[in-house]
Amino acid sequence: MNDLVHLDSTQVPFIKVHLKNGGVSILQNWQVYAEQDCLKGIGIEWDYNREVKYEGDLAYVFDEVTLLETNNYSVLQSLDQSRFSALALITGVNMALTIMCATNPKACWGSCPTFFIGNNNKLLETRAEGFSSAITPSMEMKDIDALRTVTTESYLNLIMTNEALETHVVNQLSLLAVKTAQHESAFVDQDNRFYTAEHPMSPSSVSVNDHNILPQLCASDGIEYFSESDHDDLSVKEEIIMRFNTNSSAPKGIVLQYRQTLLTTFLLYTGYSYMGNEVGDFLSQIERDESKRKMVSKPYELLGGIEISYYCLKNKKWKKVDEIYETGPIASNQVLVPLPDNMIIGDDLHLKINMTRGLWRLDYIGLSHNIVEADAEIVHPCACLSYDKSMDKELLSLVCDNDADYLVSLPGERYHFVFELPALPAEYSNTVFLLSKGYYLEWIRSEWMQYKDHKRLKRMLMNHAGEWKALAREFKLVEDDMERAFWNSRLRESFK
Amino acid sequence: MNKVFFIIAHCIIFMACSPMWHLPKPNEMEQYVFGSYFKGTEIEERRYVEGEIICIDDSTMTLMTLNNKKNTIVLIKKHHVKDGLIYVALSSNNANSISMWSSANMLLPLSHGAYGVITLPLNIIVGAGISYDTALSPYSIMYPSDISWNQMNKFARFPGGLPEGVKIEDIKLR
Repeated sequence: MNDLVHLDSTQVPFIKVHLKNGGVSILQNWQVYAEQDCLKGIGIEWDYNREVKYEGDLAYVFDEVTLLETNNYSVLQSLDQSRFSALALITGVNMALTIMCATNPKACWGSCPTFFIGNNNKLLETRAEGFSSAITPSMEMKDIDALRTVTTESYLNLIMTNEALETHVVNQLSLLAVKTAQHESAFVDQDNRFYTAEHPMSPSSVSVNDHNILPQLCASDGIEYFSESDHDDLSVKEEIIMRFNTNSSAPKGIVLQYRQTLLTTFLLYTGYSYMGNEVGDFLSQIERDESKRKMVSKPYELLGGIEISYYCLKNKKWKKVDEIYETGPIASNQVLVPLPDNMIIGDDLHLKINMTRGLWRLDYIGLSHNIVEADAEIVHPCACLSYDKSMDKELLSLVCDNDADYLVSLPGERYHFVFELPALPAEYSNTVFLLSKGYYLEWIRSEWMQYKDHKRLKRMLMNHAGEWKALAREFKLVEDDMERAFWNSRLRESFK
Repeated sequence: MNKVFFIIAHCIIFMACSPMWHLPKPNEMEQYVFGSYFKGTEIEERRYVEGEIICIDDSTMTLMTLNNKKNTIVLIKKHHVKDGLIYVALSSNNANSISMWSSANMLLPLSHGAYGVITLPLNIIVGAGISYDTALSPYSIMYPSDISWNQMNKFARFPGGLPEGVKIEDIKLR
């Protein structure tokens, strides 16, 4: 007590006075009056139960004081600053994402089932996306995709993932194996016929508006050619002219590897958003009514596919060979387009591709000679591991046949299928294709609801020029950023 | 996800039996006139003891706790106390604001579309972590490693011992 009462009260701003009766007082502006043997100050006095007894000017003679106490509470600082900083940081990230999703809600990932060739549980590039345009049960479709995998192994691991906010309903999943010699490649065409052929050769030149794009198209390497959509008209076409140094009369086919840009994704999500909270009603109408289903496909007819023509020397005209189309912006499709046997081409083969600007991404164009139709052996999965890595025979039975049983896959789920490939003679390989059959249901994002506009939906489905001009301008606003936002929104976190 | 549930469950359970209701905020310390809160292990009766430190003498610590809504006095002999923690103050002046902010943050992922699958658990983990830290990280001193028996009286309501004329059964908790 003596030490305390001799302290400079300006240096000790408060003092706690414990009283013999159990009370306590906290004094500010306190002072010791030695001649009166007392202590005075301004503060509050509490009784032993710590109920306030007095408040204001207080004075205590030292006889009634049992203890004087003061403390340095500077060590007991609130740690809120660091907590507020952490919360501010995560709120900033949240807000940025909220703003991004609010301004560009149609960029969020939509994928249909994606397939990977798995080896030692390491995911490689996406090799296929199944039944991309089957957005309702009645649109269930069979899809055959080249997995671009040539193997002599006895088993192949295929991983099917659901990386989007969608429900995937898979009826059938099989591989189709084509036996190929070392000098051959195997391909599938638009009508699901299989071919073996010589390895494709690259064109000697490829150009768009006299601009050389051969470097983008000479190899299947992920370096793609793509153009930007037109500002006012999403159906504006572009022409790609290419030349192959060949005068062979052997049966030939052009090999294309391509995928879509996000234009169709944008249009699909825009359509859903125009439906607003009545999306369920609209989808059930599409289910019930064939004419409605046709109406839904109208915008895609407007955009068209990839049209391939050759230059006929005899008529000095371009002659259309085929038009190919496959929905999906994720996995590249590789198809063979057989060219007519009776082409009169001269020393070089001149080909032309007509396609909608801003709709397609081309990775590779080549020409294969000596194409021969081939048989593909169907291979059913022999084992299935579900997403929790347990062996699941029931799942296997769901996808083995084209029947009434379906495997239903929810966002974030992943299934691992094992296939036993056909035995091969020496120096042959299996070129593997994926057969998937099913449909998927998009989960409607709450952000889309705000765009409900049935009038615009109708105009969109009727290919109304004014509406499509507006859509072109809206797409232009997001086109540059959509690819990045789309790939970033992929659901990969839950995969172990 | 199990870990998140574990943290949340642990948080709830710990909150329920923590002395947080008793402790002052750092900015209230200057005006705090109650004793600090003690939680410890008593060897003799093999029990956990806890309560506001009312007074301590050379051989006995007197704690007061609430048991079935009644003030209960617990007397512990010095040599029966194996170890314990003296809870001095909370480490937050704004626990409610932080808790509300964390909760509000957890709603934002609902507007993140597909990203929400990543941002929702992230917000839950970070938010729960910060709330947990805010609510359950008070300033404390460990006995006997950080403080001796003789020094503990400064954390009692009556550092000079039970005042004469005051019956312990008349003392009320905060």
